Amino acid sequence: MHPKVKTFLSITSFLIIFIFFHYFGWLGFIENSFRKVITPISKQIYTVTAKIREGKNQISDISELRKQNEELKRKLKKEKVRSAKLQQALEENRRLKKSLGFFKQKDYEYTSAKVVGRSIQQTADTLIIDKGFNHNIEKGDPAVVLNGVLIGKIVEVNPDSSVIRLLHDNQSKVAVTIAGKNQSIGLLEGGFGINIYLNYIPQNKDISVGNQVISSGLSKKVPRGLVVGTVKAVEKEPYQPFQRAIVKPITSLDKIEHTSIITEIN
Amino acid sequence: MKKGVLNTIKIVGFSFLVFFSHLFFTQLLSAPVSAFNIVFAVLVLTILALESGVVVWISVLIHYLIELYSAPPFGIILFSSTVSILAAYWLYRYVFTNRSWYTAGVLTALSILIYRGMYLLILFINKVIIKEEGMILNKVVLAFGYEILFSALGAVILFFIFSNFVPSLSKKEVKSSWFQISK
Repeated sequence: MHPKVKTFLSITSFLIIFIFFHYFGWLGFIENSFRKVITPISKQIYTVTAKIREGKNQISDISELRKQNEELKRKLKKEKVRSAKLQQALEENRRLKKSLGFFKQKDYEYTSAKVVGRSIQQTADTLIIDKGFNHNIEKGDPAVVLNGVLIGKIVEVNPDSSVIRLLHDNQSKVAVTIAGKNQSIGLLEGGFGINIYLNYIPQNKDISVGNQVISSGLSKKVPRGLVVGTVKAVEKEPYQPFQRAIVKPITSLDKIEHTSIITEIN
Repeated sequence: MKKGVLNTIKIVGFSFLVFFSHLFFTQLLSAPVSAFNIVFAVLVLTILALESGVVVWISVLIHYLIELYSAPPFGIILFSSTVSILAAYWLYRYVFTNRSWYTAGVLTALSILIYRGMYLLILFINKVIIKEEGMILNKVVLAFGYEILFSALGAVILFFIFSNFVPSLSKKEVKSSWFQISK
């Protein structure tokens, strides 16, 4: 046998045996040891890179800041009246938060988790969190932030860590509808970069800019009513079988530090 | 024995360094530049510098660490990446005849092409057998296209940087190839 063929066969055999060892659970101790070493360092890297990214945004905004400064000086004169109105708005906000208190109203069981890293693969948009199946997390569980804003789903679970596939990942798919409608209206799919697309919207469905997009409950384990975002643009061509919309997420998917995983819907 | 242990420690240390660099740059860079596959760029430069099959085992360790936190089923990334690095090593030894910036770029692009081709094939077979939800192929291919482009560019840039510090990268003669070109 040619030496190159021998080398190829021996390496592939080693890999196949190694992969089987993983699935039998014989590498569990080694893998958990590696994760215990990697996770704290990954957390630090995530924190540092988040600060650098924030700094970059601030530098590019300096010229904008000068303009805003001028604008704010003019607005200061109207501050007293605005302040009174803001007080009223704060009171209303507090009342709304109470009534919308997500996990108190809904009968969901959840686990809170901290984000310790993101996108270990270049072509994926994922987050790594510090909780896993030891904390009742399972594959497919939805991840939310704030008051029920859906950011993604669990795709990989380890004993003490998990991977969330974010909504704008190119493999992400969630059945959604427009708030106020009963039927599932389309499929929310990630694009490349930060865009989220609402695809397969029937031509006879009414959808317009500003509509709020929520989960329809049709996706496995994702309950109805989780807020996703608002419609930013609609593409409707009469010769196409379906409409398409671009959805802007409610929250920036780049700056998430904590999340809650819905583990059970009662 | 002592030298063997020392070499093993160097290999493991280097692998962890590359892994954490990968984490850092993937999280720091914005799309589409974040598609830059620093692991493959560094591994190709290591092939050029060391001319040794040990690079394949370095790749196994690095991609095993990546597998611990990846979404696709375990084994797909590890298998595809190892076979593609092995192919890159053979391409370098028996097809490409010099250490130059364009060799670094083309070899990186080819190795990632082989890697992603195998990755898609195994993922597709896995989804058909296990009957999971399908892939959105056009977006995935676009993402891989950006990865090949930025990784090849990144490898060229890294080649110019490291050729100032790594003497073997600045040599033009390649040992044990079918064609030899002396400086």
